[in-house]
Amino acid sequence: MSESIVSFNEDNTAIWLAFKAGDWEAYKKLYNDYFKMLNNYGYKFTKDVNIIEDAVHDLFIKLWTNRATLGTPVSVKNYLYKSLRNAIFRKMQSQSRFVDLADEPDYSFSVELSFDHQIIANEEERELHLKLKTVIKNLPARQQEIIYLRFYEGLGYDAIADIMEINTNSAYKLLYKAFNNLQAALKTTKLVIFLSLYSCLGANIHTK
Amino acid sequence: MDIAKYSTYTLQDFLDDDDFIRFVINPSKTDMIFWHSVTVMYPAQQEAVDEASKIILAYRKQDVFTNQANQQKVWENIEASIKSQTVAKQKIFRLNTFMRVAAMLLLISSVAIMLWVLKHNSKTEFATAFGEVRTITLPDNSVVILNGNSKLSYVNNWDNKPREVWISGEGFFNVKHLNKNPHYIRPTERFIVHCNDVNIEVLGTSFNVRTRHDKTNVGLISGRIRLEYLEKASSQNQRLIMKSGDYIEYAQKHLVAQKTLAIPEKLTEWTNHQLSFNNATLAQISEVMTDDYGYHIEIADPALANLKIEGEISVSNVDELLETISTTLSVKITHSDKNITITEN
Repeated sequence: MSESIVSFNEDNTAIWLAFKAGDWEAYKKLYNDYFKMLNNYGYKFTKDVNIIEDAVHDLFIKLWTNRATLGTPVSVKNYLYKSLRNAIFRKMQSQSRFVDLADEPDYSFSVELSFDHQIIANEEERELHLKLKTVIKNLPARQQEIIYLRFYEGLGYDAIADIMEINTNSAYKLLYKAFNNLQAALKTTKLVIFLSLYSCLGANIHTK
Repeated sequence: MDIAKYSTYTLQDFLDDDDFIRFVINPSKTDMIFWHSVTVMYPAQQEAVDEASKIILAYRKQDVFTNQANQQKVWENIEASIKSQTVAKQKIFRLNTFMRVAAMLLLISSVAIMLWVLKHNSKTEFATAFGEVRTITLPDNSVVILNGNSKLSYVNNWDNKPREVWISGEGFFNVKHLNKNPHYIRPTERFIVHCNDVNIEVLGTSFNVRTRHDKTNVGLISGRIRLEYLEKASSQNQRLIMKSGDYIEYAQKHLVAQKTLAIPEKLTEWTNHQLSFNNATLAQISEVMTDDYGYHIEIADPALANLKIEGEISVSNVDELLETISTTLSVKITHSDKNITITEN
């Protein structure tokens, strides 16, 4: 499955306010609107579905319990992502036998790039895809996460910094590092892409 | 959007441009028109634009985990948790408020009750040993002389209510007179002696009370008292006003005798450790010795018990009494420690 479940231009402020006022239907709608997205994001941290479900469960219980004192976030989704991220870290930390004393838990983040022949039309694209897959896989978790938030969730630096609980400058630096790694690995492919584009372009001209 | 800046963009610049990313991920009509015009205006950038979008699109082709199968199940768990939590929370909250109030009330009331009990219900109790005669001064300065093997008790607080004492055994009361206006007797001016089924209500007077074995006798030396007793025949409380010298005997819930004594003071001779009897049978004498002095008296033949000593006896100790009995009644008395055996001579 590779269909995108990410929604953009979301404006759930009205629903959020209704939920905060104690509207159960609004609360239920928030759950149904974000359940899939949250599971998808959570799945990047752990493949243990129980942990994700527990974290989602706890997150929503907390939301309802504290609804009266909650603020109104700029983006409901970002707020939920951030909360889920923390909830999952807590769950994983409590499950591991060793207490992690580090502030930033040592976590893993993995994205499984689809490898579907039907979707990937030509050989070059397929090669790019393969390469990307290998490169991404070898990036540190935090770089992988920032790429995911940037290219998959389409988030800006401020939102990313907020979710990952780093400052915006650190987010810039982190993505810059990720790009460097990405580009270094993709350099060889670049030429291939260029050639393929060129041939495409040529074909287009030819048909005209 | 400033179109000119894109003329010098590198691949990385495009990958780092919010507007570009939005265009690749979720293009609007305006976005498509804009980025088309970028490539038209700067054809040299076509390659970078294409590559950047290819990278982003390739990256976005990834496995999605929606966990849709469990969406309902997880929701039901959340619903259940919130319901139980709400119930539990409300319970705790109510309990807390309730408990706080309850604890406070409990504390206040228990302290109040404790103080009240301490003040009102704590009792003072006196008990005398066999043969012991003790003088007790009550809180109102009334005096009670308690005979041997007797008990006197009273509730400590006598404020704003009648003075009340309970007695079993024998006591001589000299009650302090508080009443000033005989036409108006305040509750606090009354003095009540409770014994068995007889209550003696007085204002100020001196009288003797003896109450043992369901028998009570009251002798009034001076003043007036009101007697209240349960009469078996009517099973109602009867009242009787006694004047100086009046003497009554009450037994088995029945007023047995009522007379006026010539010298009522004789009733109180025991207070001077005098053993005094008047026309008493051996049974009556031995009863007093048993009750007041703790002797065990055995009378061999029941017929002996009815022997009467005519006239008055007033002796100051048991030995003297026994001496008197043995000479007047010509009985044999063996006496060892507290055991006395009376046999026919």
